[in-house]
Amino acid sequence: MESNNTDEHLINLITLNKLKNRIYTMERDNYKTKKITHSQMVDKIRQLIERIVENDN
Amino acid sequence: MIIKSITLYNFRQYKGEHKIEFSMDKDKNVTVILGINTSGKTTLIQAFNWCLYEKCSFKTREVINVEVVKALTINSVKEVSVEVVLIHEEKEYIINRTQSFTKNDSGNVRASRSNINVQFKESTGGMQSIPKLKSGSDQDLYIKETINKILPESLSDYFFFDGERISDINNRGDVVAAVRGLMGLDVISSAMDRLDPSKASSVTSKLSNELDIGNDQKNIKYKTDLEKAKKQLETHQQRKKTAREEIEFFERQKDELTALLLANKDAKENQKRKINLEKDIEIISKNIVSAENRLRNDFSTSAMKFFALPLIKKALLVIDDAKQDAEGIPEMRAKAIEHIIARGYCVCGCDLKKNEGAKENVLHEKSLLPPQHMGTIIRTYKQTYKRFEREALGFDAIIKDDFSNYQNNITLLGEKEDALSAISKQIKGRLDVEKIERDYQKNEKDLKDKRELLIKIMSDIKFTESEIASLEKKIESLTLVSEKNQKLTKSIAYSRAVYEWFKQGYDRQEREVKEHLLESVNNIFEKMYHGRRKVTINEKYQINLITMVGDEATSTDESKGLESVKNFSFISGLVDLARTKARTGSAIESEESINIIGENDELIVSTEAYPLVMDAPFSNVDEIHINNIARIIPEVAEQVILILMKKDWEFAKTALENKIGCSYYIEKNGNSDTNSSIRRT
Repeated sequence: MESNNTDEHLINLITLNKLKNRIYTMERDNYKTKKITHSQMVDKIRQLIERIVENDN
Repeated sequence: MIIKSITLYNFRQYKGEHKIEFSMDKDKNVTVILGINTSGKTTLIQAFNWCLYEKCSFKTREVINVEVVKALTINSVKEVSVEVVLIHEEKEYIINRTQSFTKNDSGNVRASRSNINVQFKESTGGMQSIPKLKSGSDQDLYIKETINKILPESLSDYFFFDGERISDINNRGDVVAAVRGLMGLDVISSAMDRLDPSKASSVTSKLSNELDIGNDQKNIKYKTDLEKAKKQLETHQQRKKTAREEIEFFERQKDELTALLLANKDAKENQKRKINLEKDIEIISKNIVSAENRLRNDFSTSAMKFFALPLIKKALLVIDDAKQDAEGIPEMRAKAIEHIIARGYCVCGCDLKKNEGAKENVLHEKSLLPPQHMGTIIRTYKQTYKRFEREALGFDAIIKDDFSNYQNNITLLGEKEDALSAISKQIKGRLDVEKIERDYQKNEKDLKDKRELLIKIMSDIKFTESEIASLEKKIESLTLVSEKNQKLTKSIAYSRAVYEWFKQGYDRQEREVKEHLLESVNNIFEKMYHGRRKVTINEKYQINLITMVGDEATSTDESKGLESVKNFSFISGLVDLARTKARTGSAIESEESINIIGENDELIVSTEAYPLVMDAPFSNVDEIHINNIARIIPEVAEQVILILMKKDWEFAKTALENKIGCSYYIEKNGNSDTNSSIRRT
C-alpha cells in the first residue's frame, strides 16, 4: 500500500514507515488523554516530519 | 478493556463499601452475580453507568442509600461513591465518582455536584490524573473524552446490557462514530485530519504555504549578475596589477631620473648657458645682418650727396661770381614761349599781335630762359645743393654709428661664439639634462596619472566587491530559501505520503469492519436463533432482520424475544470483532512507537477486547435461546459479567459451567429493600 503521489523520488521508505508509526503513536497517546489541541498536534506532527526529514538528508 | 473491580460505597441498596472483583481469567472469563428481585442487580449496571457517565434511571438523591440518608444529622455530610478499576490498552485506569449529601437546618437533603477523577498508571508505575479544565462550562471535558475513548457512552448500553430496558439499537445515531472508536479508526481519522492536504489547518497545507515560489528565477538572475561582477572584479584586479606595475616602473624611472639629474646638476647649468649662448648668437647674428643692411642703406642713400657736397659748394661759388641768377619762369622752356608766339595769343588770352608790347614781353621772358639765360638753371641747382647739404648733414655720424653697431655685434658674436665653443667643449659627451628633466616631468605626470588610475581602480574594486558581497548575500538568502524549499518539498512529500497511506488504510479497515461485523453478527445470530431470519447492516451500522420468503428477503416485525436475540447478536458481533482484531492485530509497541505497518505495507490497527456486562439478559428469551446465548457469549467476549436471577441461571448454568471464574450472590440484609450485601460464593 504505497502512496501514489508523484514525490516518491523524495521519499525514503524506512523514513516513511518510521513517520507512519510515530504519527500514529502520537495520535493514539493524545487520543487517550486529549491533552493537546488540534493546532498543537499539527505543530507537533510538523516538527516530527521536519526533524525526521532533516535526519533523512 | 477488562473490568478489574467495582467498589460501591453507600450507593443505593449498598450501604457501606461493597467490592466485586471480576474474573480476569482468559478461559474462565465469566463472573456470575445472582440475586433475587429488588436485591440490587440492576443497581450494579447503574453503578457502572453512574460512575462512568453520570447516567442513571433514578432521581439524584436516590443515588445514596436510603438508610444513610435517614441517619444524616443536621449539617452532617455523607458521601456516595463508585470506583471502577479497568484495564485498557494495558493501562490500568481508576475511575472514581463521588457525590456528597448534606442535611440542612430544615431537614432537607441537598446533593452536591458529583465529582469524577480518572487516574491511570504510567508505564513507569506512577499514577497520572487526567487533567480538569481550569475554566469553561465543562471542566470534566478531558475526563469524559478519555472515558469515551475507553468505552463510548453511545455504546455503553451494548456493553452494560440491561436486558429488561434495552431499546431498539437501530435508532442510535452515533453508532458509526462509536464503532469507529472501538475499532481504533478514530486515531487514524485524527491523524488524517492533521495531514489532509485539502484542509487549510493541516500540516501539509501549512508546509505548502511556506514554499517560496518564483525563487528560482531570482536565483538565476542573481547568479548571472554575480558571475558578471566576478568577471568584472577579475578585470579590475588585472588592471590594478598592471597599474601597480606601471607605478612601480614610473617610480623606478623617477628614481633613476632623479639620480641622473643629481649627477648632472652642473651640466644642467652649462646646458642652460649653452642654450642661452645659442639664443644670443642667433639674436646677434640677426642684429649683424640688420646692422649691415642699415649701414648699406644709409650709405647708399646719402654717400653721393655727402661726397659731392664740396664740389657743389665750389661750383656755387663760381656761379655766384658769374651773377647769372636772373629769375625766369620756373620750369618754363624757351620752346613753350616760341609756341605761344607762334599761335599768337598768350595763356592769358591776350592777342600778341593786336596788343602792343605783348609779344615783346613774351620774348623777354624767353630771353630769361635757357638756353638764352642760365639764371633759372643756376637757381634750381642752388636749391638742389641746399637739399643735398641738408640731407648730407650727419651722414658721417650715421655711418659711423651704423658701422659701430655692426662692429659691436661682430665683436659680441665673436665673444659668444668663443663662449659657446668653450661650453660645448665642456658638455661634450655629457647627458642632455634638459631632456632628462623633460623625461622626469613626463614621468611625474605619468606616475600621477597612474596613481590616480590606481585610486579609481581601487574604488571600482571596492564597489564591485561590495556588489559581489551583496549578490552573494542575496543568493545565500535565496539559497537558504531554496534549501528551505527543498526541505519543505520533502516534508510535504512525506506528509502527503503518510496521509495517503492512512487514508487507504482507513478505507480498507472501515470496509473490513463492516464486512466482518456483518459476518460475525450473522454467525452469532445463526447460533443463537433457531429460525430462518438473517441480519443485515447498513452504512450507519444499523441492523435489520430479514426473513427469506422464497428467494426474496423481507423485513419483518420483531417480537421482544427476537429483538433481544438480534441485539445480543449485534453486541456479541461487535465484541467478537473487537476481540478478533485485538488478537490478530500485529501492531507491536516499542518504547518509541507502535508498529502499525504489516508485512505488505498495510495498516494494522490493534483494538481492545471488551467485556459484556449483562443484567437480566435472558428476561425475554426462552430456555433454548438462553442455552444458545450462554454458550456463545463467553466465546466472543473477553470477559462476561452476568447479573441474573437464579431461575434464569438454571438454564444457562450447564452451558457456562466451565467458564465461571468467580461468582457472587446479592443478599438482602434482613430482607430489607434498602440494604443489600454482595457475597462471594
